[in-house]
Amino acid sequence: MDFLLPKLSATMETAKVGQWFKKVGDNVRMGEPLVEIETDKAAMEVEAPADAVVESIVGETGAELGIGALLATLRPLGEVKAAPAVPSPKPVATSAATPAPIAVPPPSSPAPRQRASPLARRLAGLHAVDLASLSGSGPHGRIRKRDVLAATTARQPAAPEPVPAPAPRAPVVTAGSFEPLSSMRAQIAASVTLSRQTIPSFVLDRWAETTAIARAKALLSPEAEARTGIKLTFTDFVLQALADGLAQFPLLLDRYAERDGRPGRIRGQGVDIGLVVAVPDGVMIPVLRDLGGKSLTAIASARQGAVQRARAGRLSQADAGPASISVSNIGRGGADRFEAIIGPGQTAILAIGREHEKVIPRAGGMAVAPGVNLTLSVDHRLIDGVAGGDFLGALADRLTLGPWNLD
Amino acid sequence: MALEELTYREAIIAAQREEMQRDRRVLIMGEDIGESGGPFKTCQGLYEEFGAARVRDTPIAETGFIGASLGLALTGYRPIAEIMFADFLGVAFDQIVNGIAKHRFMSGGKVKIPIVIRAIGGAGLRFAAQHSQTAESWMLSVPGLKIICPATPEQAYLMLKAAIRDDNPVLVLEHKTLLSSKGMVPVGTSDVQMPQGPRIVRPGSDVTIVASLAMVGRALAAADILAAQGVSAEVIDIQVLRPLDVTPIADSVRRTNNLVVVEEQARTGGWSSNVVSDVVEAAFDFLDSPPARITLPDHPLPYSPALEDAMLPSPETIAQTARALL
Repeated sequence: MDFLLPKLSATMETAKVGQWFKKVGDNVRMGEPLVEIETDKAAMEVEAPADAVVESIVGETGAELGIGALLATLRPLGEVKAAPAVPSPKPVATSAATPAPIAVPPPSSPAPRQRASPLARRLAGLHAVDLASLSGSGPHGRIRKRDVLAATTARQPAAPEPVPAPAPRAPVVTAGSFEPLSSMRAQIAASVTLSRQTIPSFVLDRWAETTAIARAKALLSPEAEARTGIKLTFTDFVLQALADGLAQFPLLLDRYAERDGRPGRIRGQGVDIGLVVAVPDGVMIPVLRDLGGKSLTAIASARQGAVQRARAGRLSQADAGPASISVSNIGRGGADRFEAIIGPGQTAILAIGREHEKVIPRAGGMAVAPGVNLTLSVDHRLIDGVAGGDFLGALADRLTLGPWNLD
Repeated sequence: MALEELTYREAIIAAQREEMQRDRRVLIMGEDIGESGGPFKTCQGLYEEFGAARVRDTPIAETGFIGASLGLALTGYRPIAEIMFADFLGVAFDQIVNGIAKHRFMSGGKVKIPIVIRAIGGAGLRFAAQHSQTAESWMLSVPGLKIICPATPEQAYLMLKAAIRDDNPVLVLEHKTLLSSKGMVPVGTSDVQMPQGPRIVRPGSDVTIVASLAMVGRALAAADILAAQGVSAEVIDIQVLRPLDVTPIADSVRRTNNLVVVEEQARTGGWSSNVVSDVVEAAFDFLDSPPARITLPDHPLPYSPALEDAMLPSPETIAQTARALL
């Protein structure tokens, strides 16, 4: 079967082939990372689609290839190699020139179950560590917590490598000379330029009180932490409110697209939300999938996993993909409000300024309460002011009033 | 209230004395508990203070005086029955299981059954097969009973007082090797509460060791051994066997990721199985090793001192088992 270069991000046109984790003749298991691909967003590991043997590698490390280009050919395990013993007059074509059979689901080969403690399995999921790549230090080769943690720490120093960008701002660079951007910065530059040139957006603003969230967080976070080991953050509450708001206003799940020069919309399916994560020298936007109706603990766990992977430069294919909206939370940053730039291919972005106190009218008097500015940028091609305002109003009410669903 | 150093035995006597002073309906029955103060002297001085009407020697007939306790409870008294060896609980099994544990339920909650059955059990004093059992799990599956296991003088005092004030039947399992152990006891405490579940007696971060009665002390000794090897063990006293609430144990395992349960009973049918299964259910994703149970072998306790010692889980065995998980 052919192993082709997948589209790994909304703006990806081409990508650079990184390091291959297998060589010709190696066995690879379904889901095991096979090759690293450097896209505009990040270096991502692309996984093997089946249990297979690597027959040939076509996309060499360093090559710049387009979407759908042949990276390698794989022979699913259990499939007999095409009669190598019988010398045919012409060599059996195995290259991409021959239409290869459609990838068939791999025959179920009863691979021995990898022994791992329940905790090790959960941590591996959290840190996107492939258990198959580890050897366990426990009895019977069982993978333990320490093995997974060792694997995550071992790759930490290696993490900057896929992004060749952050060459230290060395004093060697002479002022006034030209210095090319890192590939991440260059892609961010291309992305935001594309957005500004193609998306006619407008901005809506609303201040929302956060007293109720602070109270809910104090109440629920210890319980969530006891149960899952993950602390709830303000962002988790925003994500739950936003997911509810999107379920209520499915218009915001649509994405603008053109086909044959005709404008159209692509209807959203699940409630998928991009989360802007600051990383050294840039940002990454992993997509949290299917957040509709999800509990705070489930959201926190998805959020933490994605943030950790983004910071480690190890976002996988599952973190990419279409979303109609992203959230950017400035956290403790210095700005009261800011306008974010909609990601190309998306419809809206919600920018959350720093939490700050404000004098507000309450019950005929004045009160001081903490809150945040919600600044929503939307694509006017799909969303009008009334719809955007209604959505932002509903979101603000939901944030101010709750309810919060822990599980 | 005054903090005094008492033995476990004195703590039991103090709890009974204070509750008998507080409430005239509290009576004690049992074998040799009157003039002689009890076979293990756990009622010393009570006969002299309260007289034969409230501190009653009974014939060697557990079915009879446990049954009489039920009658007393139904007519408004709050009896304490002492079983001199927990092994003899079996003699009165029907009275406890089908009578005492069921009446509150079968009367639609109309009658209260404020009975305390104290049973002194445990191995280590060369009493052989029929006088050394702890009886912890024999009645574990009987709804309507509370079963508590004090491991220190303080707990013996506080939990017995709470049991006497409880309107439901409580089986208090005491341990004969603990009777002479000393500890600070808040004598004269007027406000007592039945503990809801296990308590952490020593905090730690690498492995959770759960134990009951005499095994709590051995688990603490094991924790000392482990500490010398650089392993931090958390020791938990299960203390309430029924109703069993593993929440604090599951919380502990979420922190330590490893679990050892020690009990002084035969392996099959012991409460440690319930602890392990409940913890696996509650904290599966936090386990980094298969939970370990340390029990007696499936064998009656021998009279031979050497063999009896060999059968009981030692601090070294507990420490070794815990280490093997890490």
